Amino acid sequence: MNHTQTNPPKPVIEAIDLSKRYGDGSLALDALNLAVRPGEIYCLLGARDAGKTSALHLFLGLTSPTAGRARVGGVDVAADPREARRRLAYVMENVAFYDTLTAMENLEFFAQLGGRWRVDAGELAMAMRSVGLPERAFRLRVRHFTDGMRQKLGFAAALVKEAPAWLLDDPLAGLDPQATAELVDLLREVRQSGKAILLATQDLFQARELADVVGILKEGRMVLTTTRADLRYTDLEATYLDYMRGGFSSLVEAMA
Amino acid sequence: MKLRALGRLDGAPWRGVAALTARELGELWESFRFRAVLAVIVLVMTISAALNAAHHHAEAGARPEILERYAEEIADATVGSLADVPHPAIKPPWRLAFLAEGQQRQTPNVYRQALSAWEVPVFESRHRGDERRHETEPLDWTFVMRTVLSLAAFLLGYDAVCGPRQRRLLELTLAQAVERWQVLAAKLIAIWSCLAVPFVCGASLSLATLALFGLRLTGGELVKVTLVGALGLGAAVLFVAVALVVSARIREANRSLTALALVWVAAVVVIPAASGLVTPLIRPLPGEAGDGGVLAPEETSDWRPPEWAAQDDYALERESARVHNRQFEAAESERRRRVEAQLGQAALTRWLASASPMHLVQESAERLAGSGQARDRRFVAEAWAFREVLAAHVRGLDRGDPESPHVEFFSRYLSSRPAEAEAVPRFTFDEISWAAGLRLAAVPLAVLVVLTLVATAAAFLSFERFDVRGAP
Repeated sequence: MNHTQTNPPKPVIEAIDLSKRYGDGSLALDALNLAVRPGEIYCLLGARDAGKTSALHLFLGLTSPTAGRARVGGVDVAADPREARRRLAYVMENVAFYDTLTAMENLEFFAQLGGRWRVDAGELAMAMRSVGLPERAFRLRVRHFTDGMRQKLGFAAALVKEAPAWLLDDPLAGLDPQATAELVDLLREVRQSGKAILLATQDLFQARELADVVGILKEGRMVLTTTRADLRYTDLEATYLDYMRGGFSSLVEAMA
Repeated sequence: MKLRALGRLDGAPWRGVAALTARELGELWESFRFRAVLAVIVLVMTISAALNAAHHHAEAGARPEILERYAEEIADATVGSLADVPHPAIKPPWRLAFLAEGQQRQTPNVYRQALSAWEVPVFESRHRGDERRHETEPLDWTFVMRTVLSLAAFLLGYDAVCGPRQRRLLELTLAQAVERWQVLAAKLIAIWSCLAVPFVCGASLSLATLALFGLRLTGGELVKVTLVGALGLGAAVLFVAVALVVSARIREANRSLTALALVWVAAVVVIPAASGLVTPLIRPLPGEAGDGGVLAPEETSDWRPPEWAAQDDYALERESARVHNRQFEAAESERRRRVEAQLGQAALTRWLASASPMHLVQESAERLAGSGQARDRRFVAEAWAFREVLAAHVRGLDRGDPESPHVEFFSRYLSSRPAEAEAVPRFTFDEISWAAGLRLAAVPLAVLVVLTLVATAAAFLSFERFDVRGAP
């Protein structure tokens, strides 16, 4: 993405000083600021418990912020979480579906919950083909699916929802290389179609491969934001590891 | 819960609830748990109807025997001898025992009283069957409502919230364009439906079984059946709401099940047992020591053959009768006080047991049906009142005989004219009407409604604050 334009498109996903402190006193997120524009993949990079999932949950309205605001498609999540969720597709790690339903039935059900009450079978089938699910899986109960097939179905559900914004919580973790490659290709296509994608991951290589913007989260704080253009000149791996160790040398280097 | 969201009129919120409910129902209907609940409820209700109908026939058979023996006793009676005959007041077999048995098989069902001060009136339990055999818990609709429905609600609902959370299905669901209240409402409706369907099926089969046994219900009885059935369906909402509160408060399914099992044992077993233990300490029964003389007046020597007594117009006998009648009144007052105390103790036990919502349901059902203590109290009151009816009848006959010395109610000093057996008043028992039952049940029903509203609100509030983060 070219961010040097004079009038960049409005962000679809936006966090303004977004903070979250849980009841036990732990600070999950500390004044997060980010903006994801149409056709952009923003990668939130961080270790477990860095606050990535908390950030996604705040965008989904699954938990309420302690301070700050989250917006999706211009809708304030706290003010109208349902409308915000209507504009969001969500794929998480180890995505869960109803085991007793077929893939087709699951897709139809979640499409309805997403606000699409009339989805024809052809569209559902097309979504499943897009993510690389074999035809025989369409009418198969999900209990017979492998982990990879479930993840693909999760992506298919996101496609069917036709939401302008995607939230992805480490959706490629633990998948075999072939499935990962297929889904990475899919994400590129989704980006091409103009969706704004916020991808939370701890996988550096995915971040490097997919991200237009990378934000490194550590203990709830955004410690570094860098763009695809900057990544060409940055050793992301070294920078990330430096941050995880608490060093600052890479930050200086990256900023330089 | 946001009122704004509830107020949307575009129909989408309720479409969401409908879609979610259909899905929850699909999950439950395919589960072994639901099939087990369906089988148990339907089986218990059908068996209870068959057992109670058979029992009713047996009890109904016992009643004519007592009445025939009584008819033989008064067939050749004189007005005077009517004072010595124990007149039975029979509590009729309880036709709605399948609905709410209310311990009608344990409590006295016959009251025998003679007008003579020599005879001590007694309450008897003249039920069919071996009295030494310990009766197990009577199977009736209230048993199903109190014990089975509550257990089934807990079994179906213990993992309603924490189960999908652990599988991360809840996270995906709530990430869609639905409100939390919609998700919980769907769960509540689905679990309730999985209780309501077996209950309604069981009730229908129960009524069909009764019809097969020839027990035709009257219109009033059908109203009572409907009211108790509605109470069962309402109680199911309460039980489901409790299960949802626990499932939303406790984040793991196995711990939620354990907590609900403890709640069930406390409510169904511990609280009623404890209330039974505590009641005698709070309200002990009056002692029997020292009242033997009062309860059984000694025969005195102031009774002379009528032909001798006529010489001074029965002066001694009248005085003796006055003394004996006064003694009888005192003894009878003591006996009645003891019966009242027993009824009061039983009422207190029930009141204490009503700390358990399950027993509050039982109490409400018995009152609606006109069974339990309300029926016992009515029987006692009507049996005691029957004495006045008998007394008035015998007094009227005796006054009609100018040769009678009118010493009430001592057979040798009353009219020796034959009494017309058919004209002797018989005891009739008026069952509690459905309207009266509804009035009796108003307070426990109101408490149940409040409990249900509180539990439902607690379930929604708990779910609103529920942290959906599940195991990764």
